[in-house]
Amino acid sequence: MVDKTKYYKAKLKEPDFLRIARFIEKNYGIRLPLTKIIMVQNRLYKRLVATDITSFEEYVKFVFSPAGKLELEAMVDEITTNKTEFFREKAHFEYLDKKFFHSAPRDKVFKIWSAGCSTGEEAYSLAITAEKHRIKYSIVATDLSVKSLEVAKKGLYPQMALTHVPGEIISKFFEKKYIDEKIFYQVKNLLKNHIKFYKLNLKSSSFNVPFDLDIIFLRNVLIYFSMETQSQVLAHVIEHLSPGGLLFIGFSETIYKRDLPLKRLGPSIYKKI
Amino acid sequence: MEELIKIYLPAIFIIAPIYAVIVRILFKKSFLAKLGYTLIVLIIVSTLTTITVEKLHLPKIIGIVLRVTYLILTLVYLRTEIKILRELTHNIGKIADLNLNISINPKHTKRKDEFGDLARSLSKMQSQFTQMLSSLQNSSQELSNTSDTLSSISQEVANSASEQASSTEEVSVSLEQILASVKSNAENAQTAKTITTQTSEDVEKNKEVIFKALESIKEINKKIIHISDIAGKTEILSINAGIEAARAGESGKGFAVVAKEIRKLSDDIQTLTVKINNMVKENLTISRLAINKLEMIIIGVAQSAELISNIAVASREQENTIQQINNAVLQLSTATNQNASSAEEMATSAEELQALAQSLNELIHQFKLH
Repeated sequence: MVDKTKYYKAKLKEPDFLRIARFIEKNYGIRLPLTKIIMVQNRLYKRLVATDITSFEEYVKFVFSPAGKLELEAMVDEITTNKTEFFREKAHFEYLDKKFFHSAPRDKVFKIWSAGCSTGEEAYSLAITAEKHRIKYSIVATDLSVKSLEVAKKGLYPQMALTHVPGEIISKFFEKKYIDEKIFYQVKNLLKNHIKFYKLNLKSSSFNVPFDLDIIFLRNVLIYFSMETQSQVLAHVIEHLSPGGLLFIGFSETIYKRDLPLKRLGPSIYKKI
Repeated sequence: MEELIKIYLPAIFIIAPIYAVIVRILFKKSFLAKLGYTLIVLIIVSTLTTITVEKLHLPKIIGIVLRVTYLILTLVYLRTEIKILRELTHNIGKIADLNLNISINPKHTKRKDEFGDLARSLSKMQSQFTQMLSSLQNSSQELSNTSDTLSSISQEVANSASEQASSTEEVSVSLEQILASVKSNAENAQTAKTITTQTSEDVEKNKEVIFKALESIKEINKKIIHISDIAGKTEILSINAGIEAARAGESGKGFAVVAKEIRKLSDDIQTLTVKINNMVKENLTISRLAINKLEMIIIGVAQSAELISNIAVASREQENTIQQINNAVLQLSTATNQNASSAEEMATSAEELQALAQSLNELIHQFKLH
């Protein structure tokens, strides 16, 4: 039995935090001001336990050494992982449901990108919305975190995650499972077969994503970037949208850049001109 | 022979009591005293037998048979006396085999010699040990039960602590997302504030432009009044010219036509100036209205600028507060994680304790009490 309490006594100091923050911002565009020091410290306790290192000084030294390459990925995963939920920011799914898919042609295959898909709830929600209208579709779902993508690929969610999902959707697209006497729901292959999950860094110079997409969900991703990175990423992302295609951003996000070929259709919904 | 009897008998009857007293003093209630007495009795009886056989002239063989009989009787007596020793040894053997379920003949414990002591001690040992082991068995059973409970409770604590830890982590992640949204809102409000301030300035400039226009219109008005004045004077001039032309007679006829035309022209000018004047007045009213509207817009824009500015400040404030809440939640999460791992450790210790109690219980239960 390992005494884990010793790890939780470690404190992350400013120089080590800054080293991590600079690395994350440079490579992934995510801003980590000094106020995030406790958040980072807290999220990295798990990594201390996993690597059996009892101080952050040592951990940071290790993670940025050649031997710490794998650990670096795990660290990025831990810091950048974010929570999501099924049908989050519901208005967007209602828009697709009532206004877009409603009158969409049944023979066309709609290409959708869930950018920053985290643990996959958004991609599955999109698939469910398309299935409702018997639309043909294919979804690419990407995220930075390998750990989140693993969860997404598995498509196994605890009962809590589906609290707000209507019963008929659950019974149609999920399979109930008992694991350690707890209830889980497994996404059926009927949805899974249409979705490809893989790692993608939005800060990278080229995206391994089709250029003729019909719908892009880039929600609650930009808020973690600096204004400059936001503009870069946005310009880069909409290159992959075909004319007339839709871009959905988060409710609290704004497009400052005026020269983008986008027309506003509603709150945080844009159409490419 | 007679002499021998004479010496032997008194000697025996004098020595025997003295011997008995010495044995009594030396061995008190010991088993050895019994042995001593038996020995002297054997000697006395043997001596008396010898004397009796001699006196009655009995065959020697009877003496031998009697003596052997005495010896056998003595041995049988000693054997019964020693039998207790076997019983006690057997019982001690049982105790050595952890069996306290032994019975000691009450007859033995009443004996006054060493064997009696031994039997009493053994009996006492049995009852004491039985009592002690019985309460030890109870205690170890209780210890086992308690450590069982402790183990399951600490396991529960460990589980709920780790659940709590993951919940707080989730809360923290959600807060982090809210924080990002609020930050974005604050930035949006800041941008909106800049835009409204700019708009406010633009509208203010617009107002000045309209003021200038208003001034120009007023100037035009003045000029038109002047024109109207000129037209009036021209009319009087044309009337006068008409009169002069009439006076000139035939030669003034052409001039009279010109004068009439001039009068008509000045009339037209006057009608026009009235029209223009009306238009100018209307224009003035419209411009004043525009200025009023603009002023209202200016006030509106200023108010929204202020509101947006408030939103920007409040959002920043919110951001700070949420950051603080999140820091607190994060600290809570650290503490919960610590608790979770402590509880896990506790659960392991409790399990160890449970195992120890179990083996203690098993050890104690090896003693057979009943």
